Amino acid sequence: MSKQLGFLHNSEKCVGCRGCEIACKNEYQIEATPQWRKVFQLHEDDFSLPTRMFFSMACNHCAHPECLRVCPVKAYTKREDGIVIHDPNRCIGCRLCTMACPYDRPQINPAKKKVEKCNLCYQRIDQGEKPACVTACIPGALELVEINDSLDQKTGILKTLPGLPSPKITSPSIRFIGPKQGKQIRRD
Amino acid sequence: MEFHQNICPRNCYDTCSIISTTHNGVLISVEGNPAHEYTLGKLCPKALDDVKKVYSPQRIRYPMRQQVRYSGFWERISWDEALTLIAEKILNLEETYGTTLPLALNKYSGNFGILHNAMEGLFTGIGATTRAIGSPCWSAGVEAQTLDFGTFFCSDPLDMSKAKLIWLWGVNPAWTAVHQMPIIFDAIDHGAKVVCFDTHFSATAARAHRYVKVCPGTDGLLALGFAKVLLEEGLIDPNLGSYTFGHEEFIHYIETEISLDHCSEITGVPISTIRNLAIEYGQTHPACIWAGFGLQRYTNGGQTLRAIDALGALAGHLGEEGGGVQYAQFETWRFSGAIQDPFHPINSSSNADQASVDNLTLNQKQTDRLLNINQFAEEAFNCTDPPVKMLWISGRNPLSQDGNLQQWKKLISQLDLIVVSDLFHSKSSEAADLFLPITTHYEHWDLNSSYWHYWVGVNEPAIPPVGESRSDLQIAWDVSSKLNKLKPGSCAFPISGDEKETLLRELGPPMLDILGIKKAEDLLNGPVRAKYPRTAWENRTFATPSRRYEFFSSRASDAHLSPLPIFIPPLNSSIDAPLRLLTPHHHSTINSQVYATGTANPDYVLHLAPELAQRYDLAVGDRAQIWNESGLLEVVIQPILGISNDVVIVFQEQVEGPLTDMGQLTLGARGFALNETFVNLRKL
Ligand code: SF4
Ligand code: SF4
Ligand code: SF4
Repeated sequence: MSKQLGFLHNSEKCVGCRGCEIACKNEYQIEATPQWRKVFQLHEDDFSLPTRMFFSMACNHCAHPECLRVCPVKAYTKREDGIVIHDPNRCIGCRLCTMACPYDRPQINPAKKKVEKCNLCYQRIDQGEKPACVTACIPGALELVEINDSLDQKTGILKTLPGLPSPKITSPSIRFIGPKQGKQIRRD
Repeated sequence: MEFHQNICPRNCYDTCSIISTTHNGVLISVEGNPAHEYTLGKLCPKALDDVKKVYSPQRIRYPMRQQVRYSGFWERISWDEALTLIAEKILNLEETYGTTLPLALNKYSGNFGILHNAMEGLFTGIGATTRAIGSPCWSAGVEAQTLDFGTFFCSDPLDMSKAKLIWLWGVNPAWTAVHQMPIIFDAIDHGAKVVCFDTHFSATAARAHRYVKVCPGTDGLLALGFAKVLLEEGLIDPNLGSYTFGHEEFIHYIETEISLDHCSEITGVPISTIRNLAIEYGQTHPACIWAGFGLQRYTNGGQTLRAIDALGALAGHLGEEGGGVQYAQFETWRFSGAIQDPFHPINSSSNADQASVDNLTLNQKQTDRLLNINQFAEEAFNCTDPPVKMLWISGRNPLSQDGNLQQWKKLISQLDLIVVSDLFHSKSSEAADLFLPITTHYEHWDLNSSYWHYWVGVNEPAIPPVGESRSDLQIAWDVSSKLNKLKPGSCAFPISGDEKETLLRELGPPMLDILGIKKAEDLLNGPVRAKYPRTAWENRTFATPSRRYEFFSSRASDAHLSPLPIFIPPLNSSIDAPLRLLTPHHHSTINSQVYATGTANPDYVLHLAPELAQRYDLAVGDRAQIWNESGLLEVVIQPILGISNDVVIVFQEQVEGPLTDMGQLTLGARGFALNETFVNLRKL
């Protein structure tokens, strides 16, 4: 594999507006239930002070995708650029992948009885455009990046956030800039 | 594929410019306009959801009639039948009572488009009527800034990126002005420091370098405390004498009346913090304060804003590029007002104060019966001479909460006709006799300004009206036409017209001048930024009577207010209602009922400190009730960190209409001081 595309999400900048979630739905006209991308609030208990922080996650296009490994009909493929593609035409809706993915990102579409997930807007990427969710993010919290050592060596780049499954399972292609906590002056 | 220019009409700081795409007359997508320097090609999720809303299966597409109220048996009727019913009722009431006062309009400008004022125009054209009047949520602050600066004006929002220090005071742009966030992040990337002052730890506060929790309603005193430190540290602008008025008096007041001990005790901010922050504010240039609407929803709100303005002036930050004290602006709202005033159709000198109650025509002031929108049901029911017999509810949903339902039931039972014009059925339409389907901003012409940035633009229809829906303007013409057919001369509002022409007429000479365009049609090419300087008051010439910034305002004393900004304590809680109820905006919706799909989660979530929850023996998910002498509301409990123990918060999330649902609870609040509502709490 020549490279690995992925996401960089900055919790300092993300305001939890869910614009990315809705932009994805608009792009693919998906119904309410399958949520390819979803915005989560970070658990306040994991930090010493209240955080009001969010992160946004879709398929992580993992280096070692469990979905791909368990799928009995080879509905999953991994492209040269690292994008993990799911082909609904092959999918038989057995849900093995939804159970195998530690991030719960392949989702069953109840109407079609098949699985769906983010394919990293590969058709847009192939035309030199950015993914729909990245384009929509107003504060610029979500970016498309190449996951490599030079990125990981930068200060402040995290491989996981509190509450997420261990990245050792699948080596997800997502990096985070975590919450930096400012000083809070309160008297309570 | 065709592209059209639209503008998001929601009551929101951002007023985004939208490019909509249609294919064979069907709206297929909406995107932010990349050529608009504030929208920058991006929309918030509310607007991104528009396509779904336009074609929602729940949307009402035809005029409907309900023979028996609350029966839910709606039958489709023709527009002609609907208009005849309305016009006949109006004429019949006029004949019976010898006046049109039994006719009432209850409209809230959830849609800020100028052409939506057609409804007011129609009612004015009919004669003296009964109107629900709601003070806009920002009036105290507007007044304060007008006293200090002479007019209501702010720097261009992009100017903030040049600040070295940003104080976000009672604003939560992460949720209410998302497009300002990249500008603030930009400033941070260039080394700016951000301090956030608020009553609760907001999503914006979480992203600031420092969060300072201020006891509700004491922000004015905090500003005066900062001013005291500036004096002590000699951080006063030495040139004050050349462009301000009354600074000696103000300094004298601070020296003699303000003590830091008292300030710290009341505001809850430690003295050392007050000192450090003030020194930083006095030493850093440019430093910008952005004051939010929430600050002035207290009985002392105007004084608070004046104190913050005075702090900015004292430190010499006014007129500074990237500095100043920013609140909002009305300068780009100088529309002709022709649509609202059928008696003076080309009234180009009309008040710029478009969104304000003061903008009533003389005619209305003399004759209309004005009721408080907060207590509408009660006041309308108590009207006897003559009683209210017909009610038109437009763009709002006053009947959504059980708390005031009893009052509404009483009023409804005395009404002959209830008309609701909206996109979706709501609690209010359950009680209605007629439902008139209205268009969205993708289906009609309109004209929009922002109260934060300086762009003005035309909204053009992208698709034909869905079903038989009609614009407010069209409906107003149609009603007038029917009235005049049945009784010539019975309504002075035009009986027909052209939407585009009507909007162009709103652009009188003052607006053309502000926008720097030759003719109104030029605005059809795309939104235009008004030709105001990027930095407010850059040459420090002000619009006050003295042409100076007025620490001391004789116009304030003329209005029986203190001429100097002073601290007046906010209201206090009592034993009967020990908790202060705050109702800040949430990001998932803005209070425009028109755009609610009616599927919102009906539970109100009460946020409170874990400790307070414990005190009331409440756990997450418990049902509880908040109440005061005016009403009660059922809520679900959600403890969160970062709020004090004397405050509870219901985010205006699914609250439909800003005041109505809270209406019962906030009746006790003086005026529209929403944040001065106190409640009690009990487990259910
Ligand atoms: S659009 Fe951006 S800011 Fe909004 S939730 Fe998604 S990542 Fe966060
Ligand atoms: S990359 Fe495309 S498919 Fe994946 S979450 Fe973003 S918008 Fe959806
Ligand atoms: S609601 Fe505000 S931010 Fe969202 S699209 Fe409309 S104007 Fe822009």
